[in-house]
Amino acid sequence: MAADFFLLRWKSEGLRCPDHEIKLLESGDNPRGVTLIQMPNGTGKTTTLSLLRATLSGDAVEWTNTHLQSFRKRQSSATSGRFLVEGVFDGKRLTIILELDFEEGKASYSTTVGSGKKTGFLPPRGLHRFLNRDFVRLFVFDGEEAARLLDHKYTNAHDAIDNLFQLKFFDGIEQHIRDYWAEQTSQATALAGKGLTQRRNRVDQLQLQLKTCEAAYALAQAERDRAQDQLNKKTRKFDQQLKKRRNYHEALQLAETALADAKTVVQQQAQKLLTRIRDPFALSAKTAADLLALRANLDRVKLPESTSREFFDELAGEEECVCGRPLTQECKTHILSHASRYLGTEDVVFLNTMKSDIATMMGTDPAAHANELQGATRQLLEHMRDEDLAWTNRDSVRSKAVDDDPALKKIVAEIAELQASADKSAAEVEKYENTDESEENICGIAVLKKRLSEAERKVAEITHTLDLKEKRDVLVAIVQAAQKAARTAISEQTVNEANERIQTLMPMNRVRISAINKCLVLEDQEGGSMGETLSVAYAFLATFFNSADNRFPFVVDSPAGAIDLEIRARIAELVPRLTSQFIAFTISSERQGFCDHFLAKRSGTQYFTLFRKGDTTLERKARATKGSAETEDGLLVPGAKFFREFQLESE
Amino acid sequence: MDFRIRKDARAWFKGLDSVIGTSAKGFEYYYFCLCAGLMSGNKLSVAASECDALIDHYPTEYKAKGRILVACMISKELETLGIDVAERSRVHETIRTLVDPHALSNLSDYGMEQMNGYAAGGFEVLSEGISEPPRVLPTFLIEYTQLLAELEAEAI
Repeated sequence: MAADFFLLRWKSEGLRCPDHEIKLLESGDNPRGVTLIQMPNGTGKTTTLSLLRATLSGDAVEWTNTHLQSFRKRQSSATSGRFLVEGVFDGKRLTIILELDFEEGKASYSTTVGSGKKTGFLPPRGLHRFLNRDFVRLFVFDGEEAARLLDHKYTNAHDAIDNLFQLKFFDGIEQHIRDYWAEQTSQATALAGKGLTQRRNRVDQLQLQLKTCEAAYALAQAERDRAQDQLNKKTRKFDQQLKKRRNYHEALQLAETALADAKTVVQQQAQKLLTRIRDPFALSAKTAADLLALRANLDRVKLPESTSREFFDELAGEEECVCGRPLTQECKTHILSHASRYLGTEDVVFLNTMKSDIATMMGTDPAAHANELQGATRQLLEHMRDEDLAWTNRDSVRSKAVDDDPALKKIVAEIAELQASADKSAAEVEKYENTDESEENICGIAVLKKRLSEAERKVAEITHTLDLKEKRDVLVAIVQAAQKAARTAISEQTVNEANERIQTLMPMNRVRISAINKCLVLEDQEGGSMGETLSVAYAFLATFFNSADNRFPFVVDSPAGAIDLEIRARIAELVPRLTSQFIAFTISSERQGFCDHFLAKRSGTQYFTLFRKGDTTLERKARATKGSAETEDGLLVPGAKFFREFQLESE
Repeated sequence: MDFRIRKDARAWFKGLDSVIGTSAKGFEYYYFCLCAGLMSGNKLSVAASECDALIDHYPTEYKAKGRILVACMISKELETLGIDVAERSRVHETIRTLVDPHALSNLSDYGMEQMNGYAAGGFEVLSEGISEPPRVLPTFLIEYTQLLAELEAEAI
């Protein structure tokens, strides 16, 4: 069943952005096709976008207290904030309210569908599968985060495809098949008695354990990636701050160059040593001596022989011997029985080549190669010591800078905290990747799957449903293959159509999507420029939202961002066509090329300008504009004229 | 028949996956184990279900060393079986059971079983001698060569 969803309005109160209400209606319950909301930097664009995402995805209940407090209005005594989103889904009004309690540090939701208000995040059936964090991120989109579509840590395009094209239906079929087998085995209880109960309990327990561990594994992976990402950001911030301290900058640069050089030398020497280690005779003088002795002794006992087994086999087939005497049957049998004492031609060739290898690769001194390897090992140790020294030197420059600067000290403490958190979450992930098969391992996903399969086999055995289990396994494999094939076909089609759009957007550019592999993968490159990435993102989303019979709003922050003027106009053409409702948060610098396009061409576009109070001239001008709305900390002004003329010096 | 590596050995070396640049990482780890097994004479029989099949031939980096590895095993087997190299017929028989010149590995099925046995036994020696699973290649190589030097000293 297709989903038809659009937004009517949102309202923010007591939160970090100015209190405001944006109405998106044209007339009756029809939404405006395009709404441009101009918000200068510092007005809370990112906050509003985050709140929209949180209200539509229900994920604020998972926020940490620190994150939640970051939405509190500055210099305000308000103990709570509220963000309301109203929309229409399949002809019915839907209101979701997100309440943030800053005293308790808790987020809560209420949902109204039609006239019934309920506590909790309870979107109607049919919309529920779309209102999750990953999917909402696609239709409430931050242009500055376009690169995340190319990063598997932030994007799960497979999941989005499953939701949009209802491929989760296959999961339902699979569950049905599994339930049927469970039901069949449960009917055999009376016959099999206690043994069956025990075996079935084992299956139930393993299924539960596996499900719990898989969910915990996904969370642990996300947490690890998040922690690592934060750590990387903080480390970059530290490096940037440190570079601003001129007195340390030069010393630090020298120390870092020396460290990078030392690391390279260690890696090169390690590769040299590894190459040496690949010679078994270099690993020990004794091994080398044993090989030389083997060769010498084989020579001594004349192995391989100069005559091969085939010679005697052929001789036994002749009527007379090479010496001219006739060969009787008795002679032939004797020759054949003794032929097996000789090696075959190819054995002879192999042994001769092996002996030749020993001679040519090793030479005559058994200790020579081992000595070389020991030399390479000593050299590597020396280079590793040099690297340690380079680390110490670099750390010492950093420490001195940190000791002299409390701000840097604070960042270092935060980095240490984040490092501990990253280590902890990495250890958590490893727990679920443990393949140790001992009974103590109760979290390893692969091991649990294996145990579950074995436990199911035992249940099937006792209930005489082995045949049925095999059929179940075949059916499940077919369903899984069908889901995979459908996903692959949809992904390929999306890639092809998106590439056609990219060609239209950037005819002179060769950047193309090569695959959807959880995230978008670009051809022959890991990432593009900001403009390329954004164009790729829009081309993908345009294709994505147009390929299924669904309708969603498309809300974008910084739609034109860092795109060249020439491409901006094409983007302005394309983006509103992604969906029937396009809402963009812009800043005045995006007017050129992007907003101008709408101001000049598009009728029916709705304009708002939202800014914080503070500039009295601007406030006067806003109040004089018809339809403007004033709240405690902000002014919202409708209309193209104010939108066009609005310019803050801060931008 | 394939070279087979113990699953726990494959997991133990996981930390080196991103730094070993060769295409056949599994065989690289197999080789580390094999040399430790041959040097210590430690041979273990491990169930097929506990092992991962690798390849049936020597990867590029080891192609030229294949016959030398077979020679190392022949030498170790003769030593273990107490066969004097002067005993021509027994030497001959041992070589015939271990070698198959038609196989890409130059090993008969029996020979491959023995080779895999040394690799399995070698992992015991490695994991006991190097307490932590390796994460950094240079550190591992140093520890590995030191461990082999100790094994050599014990063998002499």
